[in-house]
Amino acid sequence: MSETPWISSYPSPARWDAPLAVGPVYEILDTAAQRFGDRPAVEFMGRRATYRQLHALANRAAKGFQQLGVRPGVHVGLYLPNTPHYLVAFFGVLKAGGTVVNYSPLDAAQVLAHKVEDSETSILVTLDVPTLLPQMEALLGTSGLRTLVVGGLDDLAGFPEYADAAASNGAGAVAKDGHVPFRSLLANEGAYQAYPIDNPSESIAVLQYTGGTTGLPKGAVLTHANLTAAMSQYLETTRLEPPVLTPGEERTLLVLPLFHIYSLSAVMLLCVRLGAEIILHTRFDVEAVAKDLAAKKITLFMGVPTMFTALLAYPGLAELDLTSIKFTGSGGAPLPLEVQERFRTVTGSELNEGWGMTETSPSGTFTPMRGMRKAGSCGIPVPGATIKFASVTDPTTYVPLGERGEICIKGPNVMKGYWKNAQATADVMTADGFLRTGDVGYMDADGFVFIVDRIKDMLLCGGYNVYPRNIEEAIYTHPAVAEVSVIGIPDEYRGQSPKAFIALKPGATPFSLDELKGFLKDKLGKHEMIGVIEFRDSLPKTAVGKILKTALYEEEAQRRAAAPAKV
Amino acid sequence: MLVRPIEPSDEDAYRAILEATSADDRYCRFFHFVDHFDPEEVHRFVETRADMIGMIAFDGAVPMGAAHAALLDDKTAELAIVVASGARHLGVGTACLDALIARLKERGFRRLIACALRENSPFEHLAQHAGFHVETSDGAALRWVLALTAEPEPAS
Repeated sequence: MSETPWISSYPSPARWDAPLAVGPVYEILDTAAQRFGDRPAVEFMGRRATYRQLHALANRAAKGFQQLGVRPGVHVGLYLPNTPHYLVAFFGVLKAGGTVVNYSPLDAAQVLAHKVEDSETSILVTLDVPTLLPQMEALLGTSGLRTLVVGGLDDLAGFPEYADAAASNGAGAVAKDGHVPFRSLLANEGAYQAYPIDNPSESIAVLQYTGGTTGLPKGAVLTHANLTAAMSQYLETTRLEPPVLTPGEERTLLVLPLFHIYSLSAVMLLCVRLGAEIILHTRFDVEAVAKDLAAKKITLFMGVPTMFTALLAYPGLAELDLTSIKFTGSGGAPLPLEVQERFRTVTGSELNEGWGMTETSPSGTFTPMRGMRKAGSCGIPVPGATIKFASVTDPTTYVPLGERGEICIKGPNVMKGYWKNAQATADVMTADGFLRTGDVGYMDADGFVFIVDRIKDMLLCGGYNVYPRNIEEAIYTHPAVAEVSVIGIPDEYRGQSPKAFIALKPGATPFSLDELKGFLKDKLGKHEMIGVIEFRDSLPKTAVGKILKTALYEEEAQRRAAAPAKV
Repeated sequence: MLVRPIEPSDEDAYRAILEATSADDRYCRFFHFVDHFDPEEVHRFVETRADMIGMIAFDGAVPMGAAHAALLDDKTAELAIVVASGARHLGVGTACLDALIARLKERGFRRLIACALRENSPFEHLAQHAGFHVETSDGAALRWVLALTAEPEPAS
């Protein structure tokens, strides 16, 4: 087999070896404002800003951030839901010369504290809502965090108009308590000092934290070149004849959380690059999403399998006119074939599966929109990316294409490394510069990748990476627990759900799942929360006392096989 | 360094080794979180048993590490090693393993297997140095195997 069999599977005129434009990420917005200034950029709760307005707001935010001390080397956290604040702040930070650090509202308190310290976040943007602001106020003054830029829901009533509002005192003065209103960040004329980026491959745009089987999350260093290369890769995969996507004419519904690399890169940045209108939803509400897909004539929609499962279960879906949709992408977790087929039947639109990870910005593979498609495959390598497969028993050697191995990827979208963690970086890089992904798969003769296993103890729950060891560590702190082991069990909605097998200390009283969830509330992220518990007198072990997760997985599989089929 | 067969009187010494390890080390040893050790569990690894061979290393009176081989049948044994955090990089693991291998060979064992998490790089170095190879990969864990005889290994 050729070393690059996927090249012949590219849908013409897209090319695997197409030149990939890279540059400063903020230039995506500059260009969109020049080309599509009066076209709608963002819609939120009925309010709409044009690309000219979004650009002006980002420029004002850049000046405001610089008044707060942002410049190259300064890391600014974004702890925000899907509101216009995110887009304005994201581009504002980058234009000011800073680096964005994304924070997840799902994270537990100790993870947030770790990210603040590890990333050296000194300024953070959040909203004045009970689920966000108190968590960061607790870190203000007790960590390196010194300024909170605080937005409010009332900002949103007139956000497009701020682009044209008269300049006032600006954000130079930080209140004594370290708080700065988001509005004051924008109270300037937008004449920020530009810091040209000479080498986009070295300049850090985003620190994107990602978990691991051990320890606290690590910051993947994504450069301006990584993110803009990913944009170029995505665009090249849609370059077809006749064209599928038309710059300045597309409209997306953005419901994936913007703190997640999939949403940030494959939706927000791609859509700004396309001059598309972004309709923001703060959370996935199946009825609201289904209705907006039809009513707002969405042309591009990216989601995770959980969302498509929910949409297919929505009773009114078949009655909705979804013919405006040109492209639907699924990522974050394996897409069940049944969901893919039902989606096609109900909507007439193909669900295109792709694979990637935080460390790849997150492009990796894509399913060609036209031409060859293969059931169960996550597609072929994106332009400029090469995939090889390392032996699962000896990662220093590669197996021939066609054989199962750990997926290794190299390309301009692959991160520079982990922030301040040379050892972790070395652990995931091969001698010839490929990223070891931890996913196990194989490639067929046409270059299509099939993922079959994972060599890291990780679950995919609703599109989020969940590490059983983190959950085990949290449960083990319960005073009644002697031993605990967590595995993933199939979940029709989330894909996988964590199940804990627990052996109690002698004389300890069993507890309910709800009681355990209450105990874990401040120790685990919402996405990590345990779904099922089972008490055992003891857990299966090898002869020298090592817990056998494989035995637990086998028991679960047997139990499911023996269960009556659902009708 | 003294390496000798473990004895029931080593219960406190073996416990001291376990307690002188990090949480990560203990996870690698037991594949789950452990921060206290039941007396029965410690006793199981120091008592004289037909299905277990243990070696323990001391520096003077200070216990440094231990290695056990659980005898799965008359040809195959399963390995477990633990080294106190303060005794790392002193050859303790290698010394315990060499002594254990010698004892297994004397008794005619042909294969020594070890289940280790992929991230257990100290064991990976030890295993490679001792001549183990990875036989199978089982998700997050690897099954390492060392042939104890020059004869062809029996099918597993």
